[in-house]
Amino acid sequence: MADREIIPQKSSSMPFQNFDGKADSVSDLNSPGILPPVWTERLAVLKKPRVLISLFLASSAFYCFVIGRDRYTSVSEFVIQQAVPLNTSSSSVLAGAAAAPQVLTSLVDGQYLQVYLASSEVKNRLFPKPISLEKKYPKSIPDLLTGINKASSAPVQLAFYRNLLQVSPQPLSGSVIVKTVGFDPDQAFDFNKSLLLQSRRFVNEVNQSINADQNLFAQKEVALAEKNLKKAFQELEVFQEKFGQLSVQSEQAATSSFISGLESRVVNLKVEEASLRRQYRDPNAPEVSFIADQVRELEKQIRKERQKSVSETGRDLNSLAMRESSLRANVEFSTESLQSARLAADNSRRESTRQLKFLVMLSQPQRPVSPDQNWRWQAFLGSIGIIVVAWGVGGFIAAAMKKA
Amino acid sequence: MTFFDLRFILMMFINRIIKGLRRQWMIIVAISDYDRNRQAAGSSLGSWESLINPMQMMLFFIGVRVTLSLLRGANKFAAGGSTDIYFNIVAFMLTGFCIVFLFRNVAIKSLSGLKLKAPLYYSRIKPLDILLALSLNDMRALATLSLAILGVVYYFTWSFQLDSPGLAISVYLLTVMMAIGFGLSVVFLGRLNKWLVKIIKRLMQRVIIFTSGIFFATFEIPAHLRPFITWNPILHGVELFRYSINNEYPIPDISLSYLILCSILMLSFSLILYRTNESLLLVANDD
Repeated sequence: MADREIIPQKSSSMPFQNFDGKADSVSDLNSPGILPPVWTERLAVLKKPRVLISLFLASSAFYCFVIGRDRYTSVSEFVIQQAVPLNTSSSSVLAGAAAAPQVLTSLVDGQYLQVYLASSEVKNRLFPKPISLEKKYPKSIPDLLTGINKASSAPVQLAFYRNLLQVSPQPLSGSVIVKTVGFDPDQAFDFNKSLLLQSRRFVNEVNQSINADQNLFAQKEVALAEKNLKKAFQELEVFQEKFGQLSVQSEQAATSSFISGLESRVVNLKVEEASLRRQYRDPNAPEVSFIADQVRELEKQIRKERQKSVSETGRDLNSLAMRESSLRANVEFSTESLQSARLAADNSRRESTRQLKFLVMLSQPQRPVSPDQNWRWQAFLGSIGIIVVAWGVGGFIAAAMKKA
Repeated sequence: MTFFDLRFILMMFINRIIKGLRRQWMIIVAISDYDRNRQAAGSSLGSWESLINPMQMMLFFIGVRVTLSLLRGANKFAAGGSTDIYFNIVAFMLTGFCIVFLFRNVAIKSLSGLKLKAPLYYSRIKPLDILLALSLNDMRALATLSLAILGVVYYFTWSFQLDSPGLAISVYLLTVMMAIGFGLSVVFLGRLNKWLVKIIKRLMQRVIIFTSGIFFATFEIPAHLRPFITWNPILHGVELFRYSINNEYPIPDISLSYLILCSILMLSFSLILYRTNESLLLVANDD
């Protein structure tokens, strides 16, 4: 008992005494690690889990239901629809057998749109200067958790911008739901309308610009094919001017027939020579020699003609024929290229008109009339959920570790 | 009687209810602690056994699913098929597994009758308290496993996502309610025919595992076949749990209202039966 009396006296007197023994309550209270027993007891209460949980829940409720800023939401829904070809029998753009592919196309476009609307490009388009976002969504007292700080960095601004919108493509219907959040009704409504404009721009202008690019490419191809054809024709004309208008192939055929005529004549003369040799005893008889000379001359002439038609120094009909056929093939190829380029350009022009997509509004955004209370309850119930999960999981792990 | 008297009586009444609930809660927590300690003492793995057993089974199921996908010729990096767009294969299987096995474990405990009878020595403790305490342990173990594996998946994929935590917790609690209700109802209905309990136990052990969406997603099933599986409220729990993690996950023909309705109806029905046939829970129904 004596100890019990002494110890509290020591502990209570220690913080109020200096080395010289003089009382100096202010300086000792401020010194770290030394607190009066009243405060120690009070702080010990805070260490209890029940008190900590109650404090956590109370602060969560205080923030969620008292100081949290009002948030307004504006929702719109649309579907990205492709222009239906004229030959389809479906009367409605949303009905019939063509509905399933349309849903898939719309879904894919919606997924592209989801990424596009959350991109920095759209953010910069809607808020060209960093200060414009900061001015529109500033932090305000007492809720300092919402809003954006002044002079914030670009990634922070982009992250904040992304928190303001939610784009959800619906896999089953193919529609896209755009939900925007604002700290007043106009912010949410205007932001939703701006996003719809950006969506229209993305779907129509970007799509049209892609098709325009395709058209331009096809027209360039047509011009190139025309140029190639002209060049091929010119080369053929030059060739024909140089070597005559006649065709080399017909020339070659004429030469061949001329040579074969000479050869047939040689054959006849040889037959005649052989019969004369039988008639005359002297093989050098003038009748025989006359025919034999003719045969020799003819054979000489045939060799000469042959040589002339194929040699480089002569008319070189073979290479000329090859060159001519190559030039003609060039002309034919260029003609066909031009035809297919014109066909592709025409198809591209027609398809670009047919494949235009439209934003069909299913639900226009409305100006919110009252704040959205969902986030308050969600946040508060989330706090309760954190405690439940922490108790369940943390308690289980702590108990298991203790047993282990 | 004045206004102040009325207010005093009302306050006393509310106070009594709060005290009673608190006492009941403490009893349940105490029994769950007792059961956990008892299990830890009887196992070489200690308290971790309730975590390791389901994990083994889950890894086995993931192995089965991945092997089947590979045999089917799917890309080994896309073993989840079309669900890979929304979930990693491990996360997909885990979300199905933790709900189905929660239901299975809790319902089987109700169906099998109480093995843990020692706490009944205390007059305040009722069979339902023991059942709730055992369910609490299962719930805590499977929740720990889910969080741990989701944490590992998040760590490796570095994509943290839990879109609707409130819905996830609600689905977990609704599954427990439904499991307790289902188990108790079948126990009392089994009084009419003992074979009924045995058949349902067998069905739960095998058929429900394969029809509750552990291995597949509802949107993968053709629309005309969906009515054959969407009657199953556990499937709704599984799909809603997946949806709570990723709000873009499509859940055709799945509704939270149906899950709530089934859970409340089953629990209410079972509690009515429990009031009249409490002693039946003490009879073991082992196969």
